[in-house]
Amino acid sequence: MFKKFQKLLVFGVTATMLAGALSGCSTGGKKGSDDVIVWYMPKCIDNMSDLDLVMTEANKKFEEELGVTVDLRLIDYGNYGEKMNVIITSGEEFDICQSVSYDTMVRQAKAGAFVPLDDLLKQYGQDILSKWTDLEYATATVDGKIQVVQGQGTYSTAESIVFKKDLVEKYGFDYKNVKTLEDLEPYLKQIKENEPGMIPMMHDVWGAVSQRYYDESIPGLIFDDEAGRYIKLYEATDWLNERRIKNDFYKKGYIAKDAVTQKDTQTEAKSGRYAVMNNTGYYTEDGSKSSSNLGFPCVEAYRGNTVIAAKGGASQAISSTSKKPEKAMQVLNLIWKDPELSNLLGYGVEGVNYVVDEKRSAEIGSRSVIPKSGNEMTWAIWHNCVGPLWDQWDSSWNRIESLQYMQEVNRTAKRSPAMGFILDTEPIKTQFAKVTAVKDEALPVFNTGSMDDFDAYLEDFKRKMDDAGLNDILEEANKQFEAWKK
Amino acid sequence: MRLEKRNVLGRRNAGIRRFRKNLPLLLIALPAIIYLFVFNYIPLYGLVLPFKNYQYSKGFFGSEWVGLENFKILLNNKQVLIATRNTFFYNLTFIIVGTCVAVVLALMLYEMTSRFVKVYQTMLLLPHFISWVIVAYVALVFLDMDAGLFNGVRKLFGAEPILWYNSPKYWPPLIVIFNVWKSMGFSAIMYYASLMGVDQELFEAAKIDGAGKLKQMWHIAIPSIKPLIITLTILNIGKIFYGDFGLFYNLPQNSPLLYSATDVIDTYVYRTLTVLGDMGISSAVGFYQSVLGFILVLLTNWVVNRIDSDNALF
Repeated sequence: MFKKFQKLLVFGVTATMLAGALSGCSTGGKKGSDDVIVWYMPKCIDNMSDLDLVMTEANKKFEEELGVTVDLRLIDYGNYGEKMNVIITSGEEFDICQSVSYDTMVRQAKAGAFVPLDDLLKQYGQDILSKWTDLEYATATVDGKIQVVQGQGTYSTAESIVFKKDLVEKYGFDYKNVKTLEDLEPYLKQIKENEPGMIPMMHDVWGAVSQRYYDESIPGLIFDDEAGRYIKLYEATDWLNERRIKNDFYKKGYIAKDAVTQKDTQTEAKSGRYAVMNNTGYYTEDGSKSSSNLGFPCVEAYRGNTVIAAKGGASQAISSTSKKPEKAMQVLNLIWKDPELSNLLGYGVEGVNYVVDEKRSAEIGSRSVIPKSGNEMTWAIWHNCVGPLWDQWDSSWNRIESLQYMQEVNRTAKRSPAMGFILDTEPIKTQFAKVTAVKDEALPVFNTGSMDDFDAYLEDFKRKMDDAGLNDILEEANKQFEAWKK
Repeated sequence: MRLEKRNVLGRRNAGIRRFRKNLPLLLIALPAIIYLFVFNYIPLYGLVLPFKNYQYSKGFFGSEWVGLENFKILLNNKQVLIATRNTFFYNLTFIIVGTCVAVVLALMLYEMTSRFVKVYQTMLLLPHFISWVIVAYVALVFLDMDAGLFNGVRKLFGAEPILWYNSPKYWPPLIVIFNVWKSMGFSAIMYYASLMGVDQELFEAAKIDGAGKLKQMWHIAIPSIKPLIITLTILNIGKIFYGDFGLFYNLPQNSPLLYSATDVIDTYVYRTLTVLGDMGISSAVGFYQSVLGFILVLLTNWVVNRIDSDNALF
């Protein structure tokens, strides 16, 4: 009796393990069938529990107009880049995905992960093209081919420094007149001496480089606006000076000791332990943007607008593994064509995710809505991810004035001479890999100022960079840039 | 003629009989065999990847051959050198310290007769099941530079806080301590189990002959688990160029200031090549890792063969 049971047990265990091993191989399954468009996107907010509800509504439209349905697959924001990389590298069949970041998009496009869209856009995407400006074209184009459907958005952000309001008032600090990193010092000193529980400054303040420089996308280099060419990052005087000041701040205890290991600066800022923080989106005069993002009253000081480099913003790509790129393009086109649809995808379903604000609608002459917020918020895709941001209905997310202002900024802000230039890394592949490794090791240390001896670290950094082949990259970048300018 | 035939038949029968006899054992091993085949043998075709310029659109077989182009990253690359050095020496230390600690623990467990043996075993084994992510945060509770336990105590006595996560010099011992703490239970239990199989009479005979505890251990216990020690060591040497990613990435909180002491090949690959996304270069580094490991296994086995051929793997 017992023997028999034992045998059964062995058999049973073996069988389950075997089944487990075998089914493990096939979890990639659930391939899109002919009339389903599989679309990967990161979650804009954690709780997206109304996915089925919203997509049922949206699919009614897709079904009616195009005869397809969209299977929207949402991935946690933090894991999106990694998961998408696996999905693309493994050659899984899907139709549309949101690009992870501009640099990732360029890399994946160059490796042939996406379908070039020039012809598809001409044939099926007229409603998209009619809403594009030269900025969207420039951003979407890689090596002369349009690779993504670039969402509308701001190309020049108003940078700001955020101050915790109660402390600024307590010490009567004239935050509006902060122009340089040095201007912060007296205030940081006061905080350090008088507020024992507080850390004076978040390490990512002045994280972005000065206005004169931009385009850090080539590791170890920086584009010098005045000189009109790429220079070595460690030869950019403004950059060096700011890092040096940060190191000074770090030694004086104005920056957290563990700054270099902090991964999530936003959560860190929300803790309320910091007196001075970096901007959380863009500058607002009354500090409303940072106050609502961080959850406590803040005020902001304007630093200036970034130069337009047309590198960034959300975009949607069509996978080269897609069996029906035409349909995918039609789906995207329909969203750009129909504001009802794009706002449905953005805000969710009326009555469930938002209500219409009749009074304000009448005032501004177009629809205004009040979306659910806080814990009641169970759906949101930011409109620039959906695509046509300028078609967004007025709400607390974006007032109609700010939408108009953003478009105005896009028209008037200063543009980079390198706008649209993309370095072909193929001839300098190994140097690129090595320099990237050095950069990834050193930049967090520079940006937080957390080295013991600034000059020694800098010398070491220079040596490592040059050993890794920075000179080759510099030469190649400027050569390609000159050729591209013509 | 006849005789020969019978012999063949007999041999075949014996083969079948042996197979029958071992069938349950084979069945038990089957999942592992399938696992090994599916995950370690089938993917072997991927070894062509380091020699190709991989393009998603051209696919695996369509991508062009570039020869040793992808291996250029290994040339004149100090960071790879540092990472290789770290991987090798950490693992070597883990093998030496880990084995010693585990054997000593197994001997202690073996000498224990109280009914708490099970409790000790469980306590020793427990860390093995905790993820490195959690261990890393437990470590942070001790080592946090502002609010950590150590620095809290130091502050109490008016000493300057130690900047653990900013200074590489503290990390070699810390990493060894944490890794040994986490892995000692598992190997100790293996040695303990093997000790349980030693004939009790040997110990009794030794006792009658007047051997003390230490003599018994040295002359009976350790020689009898020697084959296991050698096998496990050879197997571990095979993995000597594989850094435990969970350990080296999480425990130092991925602090860039510590890379010189904590960077191993695996974290280097992760950091550089996920950003770069170049399959060719990534797999070239992986290839380099496995070739080094393979050479070392052959070398160790050769050495063992010369010293004591009974215990060699092949």
